[in-house]
Amino acid sequence: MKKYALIWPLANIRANPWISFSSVLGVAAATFVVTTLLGFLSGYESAVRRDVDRMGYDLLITAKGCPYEAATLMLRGGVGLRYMPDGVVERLRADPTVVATHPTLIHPVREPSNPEGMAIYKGVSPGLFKALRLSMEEGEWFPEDGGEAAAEGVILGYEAAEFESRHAGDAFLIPGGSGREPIKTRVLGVLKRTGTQMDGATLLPLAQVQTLFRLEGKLTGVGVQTDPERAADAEALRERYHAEAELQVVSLSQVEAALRRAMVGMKDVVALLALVLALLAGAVLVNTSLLRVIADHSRFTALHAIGLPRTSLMTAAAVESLLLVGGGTVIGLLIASIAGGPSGALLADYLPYIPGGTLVEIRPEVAGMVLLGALVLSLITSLVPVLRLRSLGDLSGLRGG
Amino acid sequence: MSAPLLELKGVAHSFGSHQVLLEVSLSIAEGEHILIQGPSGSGKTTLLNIAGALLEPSNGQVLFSGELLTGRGDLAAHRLHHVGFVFQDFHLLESLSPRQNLDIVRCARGGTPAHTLDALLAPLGLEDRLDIPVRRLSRGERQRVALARAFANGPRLVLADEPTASLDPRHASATLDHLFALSEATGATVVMASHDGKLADRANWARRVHVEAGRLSEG
Repeated sequence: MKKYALIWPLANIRANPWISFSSVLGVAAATFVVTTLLGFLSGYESAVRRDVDRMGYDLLITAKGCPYEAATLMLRGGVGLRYMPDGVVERLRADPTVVATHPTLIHPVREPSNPEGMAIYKGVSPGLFKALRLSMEEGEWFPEDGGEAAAEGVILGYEAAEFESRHAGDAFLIPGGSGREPIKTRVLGVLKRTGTQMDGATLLPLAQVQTLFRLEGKLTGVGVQTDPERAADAEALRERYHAEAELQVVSLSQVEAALRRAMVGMKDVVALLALVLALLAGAVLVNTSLLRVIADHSRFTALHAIGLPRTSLMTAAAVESLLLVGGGTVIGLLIASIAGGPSGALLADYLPYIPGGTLVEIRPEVAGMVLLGALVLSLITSLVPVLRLRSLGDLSGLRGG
Repeated sequence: MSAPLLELKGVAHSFGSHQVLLEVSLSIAEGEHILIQGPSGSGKTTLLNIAGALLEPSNGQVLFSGELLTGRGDLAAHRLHHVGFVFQDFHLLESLSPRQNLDIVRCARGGTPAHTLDALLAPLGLEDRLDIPVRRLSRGERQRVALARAFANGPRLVLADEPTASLDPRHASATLDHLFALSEATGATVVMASHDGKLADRANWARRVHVEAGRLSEG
């Protein structure tokens, strides 16, 4: 009888191709959606965390403005668009709590060829390369020594280089703005893809942006790295600068907290959605199993009357359910893995903040959890036929089948 | 003198307040062919179910080869080793082939050599249909497979409940031919219930028993 534990369920599946197909399709669809949603929960959290990690500094000090806008700009590697009062960077550098400062000047210029378009140039310090843990796809970063003033050229983010079709060494034209002649320069290097907004950036040494756009001494913000050993002093520093009327301070923890608040509600909705879909899939399967058992009821009864043990019949029902659910789950998992990118892009439309990188991450533990859930589900669905068999008298169903 | 293969002693049975069998006694020898006749609702099927250890009688005793079956609880193993059933509606596994339908019973029983399956199927004229799913067979062909399956576990007693009820006279006669041929080949005792009076004319029956209003009479 053991050899029929697989042969019979397989033959049953083949004998009812449409019912089997719709069962597998239903499980595959439910698995795809549930896996994608669970993958999104972990993927989105990781992507946000990655963005936060890549900020490279603990505090962002900008001119007074909307703190949420500043937080978003900070995540995107930018700073506010108003200029900071003089002397802030010097004061910060003199503070023993401060390990490093990264002054930044962001300057938008209208594209001459496209009046709607805006090219944004970011003046940065050479130290930012290390602070953000960037690496070069090709070419070189600005020289460290005297880099704020030297190096005539730009560094392009990965996507910016692709968009402009530029490589290290190519010529690069910066629109002059206000009727001035464009500035001819060249591409010094291209950054590797980071999965953050840095991929679309055009970077120049800080002093060069200040000179090119006649903004000598102006800064839109400064990123501050504090001594991790002096957390209390760092907090005092944050409060001190926060108290200044013309400045606003956003700390890493504030950014994290704001994003976490946004994510908590979203995670609950997504988890609830996944649960509803899983329950729906379970109900469909129980119903399908029930239909099969009703159809096979008289045959099961006859076989038991002949003397086949209940356990063998139960095993056959369970194996059939396991094959259908298992097959559907594997197909659903494969589709979810392959379609992770498009699914993430689709979900991104509904997000309050879109971090860089993969949004749907089908991790082994997520796949394992879904597979385990499917196994439990198949056991539950085979429980229906099993319970139905258990309640059989020896005689019911022998006639009129 | 050896004990009868099956012995029913003072067997009575009721479903709730409805008395179906009243003090029935019947002794069946090894190798006998017995026809149980009677109108619908007379108690034929109940009698077969009790004889096949599918149903525990309300009163009386059932002995198989001198061994008391009454009160033994689950008799699935007894049925698997000693009894074969032919059902009116066949109850074959539609997705499996004729050979597999027999083999699944053989495997459940264990010990019966595989070549006996072909020996059972060969006289039924299904040589080229043995490995296709049963659902593709005609009604007559399914009936023949159902007959062969009843013998697949090497039973000493085969019980057939109205096996010809849904067949035309020509197919009914052919079915009985197959039943007797399989019985001769295996030496199994056959007890068949039918309401069809024409079947009683066959010379193969050793005895004809009538059931009416729960009572048994021979002749």
